[in-house]
Amino acid sequence: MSDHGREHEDWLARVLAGEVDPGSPAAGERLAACPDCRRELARLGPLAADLRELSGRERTDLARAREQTDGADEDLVRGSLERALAAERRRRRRPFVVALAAAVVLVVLGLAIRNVLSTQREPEILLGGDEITELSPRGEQRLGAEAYPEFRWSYDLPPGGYFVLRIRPIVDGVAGEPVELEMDEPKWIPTPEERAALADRIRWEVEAYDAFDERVARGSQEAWRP
Amino acid sequence: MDPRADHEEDRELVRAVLGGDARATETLVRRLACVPRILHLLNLRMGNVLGPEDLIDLTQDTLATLWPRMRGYTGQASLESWAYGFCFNGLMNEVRKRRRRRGTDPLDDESVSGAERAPLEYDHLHRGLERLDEREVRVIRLKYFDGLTFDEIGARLGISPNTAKTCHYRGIRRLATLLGGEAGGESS
Repeated sequence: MSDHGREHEDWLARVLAGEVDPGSPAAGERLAACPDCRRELARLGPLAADLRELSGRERTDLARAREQTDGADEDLVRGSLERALAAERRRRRRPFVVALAAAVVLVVLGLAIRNVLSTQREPEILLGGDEITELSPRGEQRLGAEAYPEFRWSYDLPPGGYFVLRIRPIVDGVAGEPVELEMDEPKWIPTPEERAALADRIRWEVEAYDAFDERVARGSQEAWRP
Repeated sequence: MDPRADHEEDRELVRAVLGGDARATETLVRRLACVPRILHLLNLRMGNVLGPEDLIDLTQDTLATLWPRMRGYTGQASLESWAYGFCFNGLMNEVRKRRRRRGTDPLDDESVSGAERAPLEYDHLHRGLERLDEREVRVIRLKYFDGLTFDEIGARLGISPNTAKTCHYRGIRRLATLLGGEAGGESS
């Protein structure tokens, strides 16, 4: 950066830091003389003002929230935490094998219905947003019964984010109902029992969500045992 | 730069809770009692769009969303500030849902007051903040959300106050580019 640019950046930094009043005569002269500074301040000033307003409102709200002492609020939070912990314990205990077996049964039923009615469309997997890469397993698995030792992918989650992994069995080209797991690491290592319960051919997808439950990335692959 | 989180105590509290510490859990419950209170205040500012029972439901929904995300809490913001984002988004989602049911475009609703219009940018700002580099986002959070002076920010981060101001300026500039999607970007 040239000295001219650096000096302007330093001055603009002081303005945004609140050290220089942009409405002062001296600042006005400077801005009149430099269209770049004028343009930059016009672009950044409103954003800084928005930040001050929104952060100020948040701090006011939090200060008022801290002043209140209502035991009912704590009871509400405590009850919610207990339910969340209980749900987490239930989710961990649910047999993955049972869930996969149910998914396969649903696929078989779907095939039977398809034979009676018309052809079924496979659910489309649409890709959008960022793409999750380096998904494994993919394609033909050479390990036979030892196939699918782990599921891995590459994506840097935003703070507070999480992954949702869905694995669908594919029978005669028809994808069944998915089994869904949630994790905050880019991998899932099934137990031997869970691995054995996976269909010979699977379509699996992984989605990344941010802390506000907005999906930010996805990716999918198919894999099969020979 | 000090690698510790800016709210290290809060991060340690969450770790203790996740490790099963009962006393830490009770402390967390007291801290997060702010959630129903924040929702009440936000709802008040929105003109009481939700009734008391709806607020209770929303509180429970917000907490149900928040609990699993505790593992991802980094201590970059205070616990309450972190929870505030969940409250804001939860309430805005509920408001938008209700307006869709009424067939009203949330952006065209004439009942949107000036005070309500500003909070619609909160989510946008925080998404932009997540995309700044670590030092820039820390300076901006410490300055605006924690209310520190540049001298205090410099002492916290192990940099001079002038460097903190420059970092602040560059963070604001980058944020403006991210939020505005302007072509040209920053000067080198």
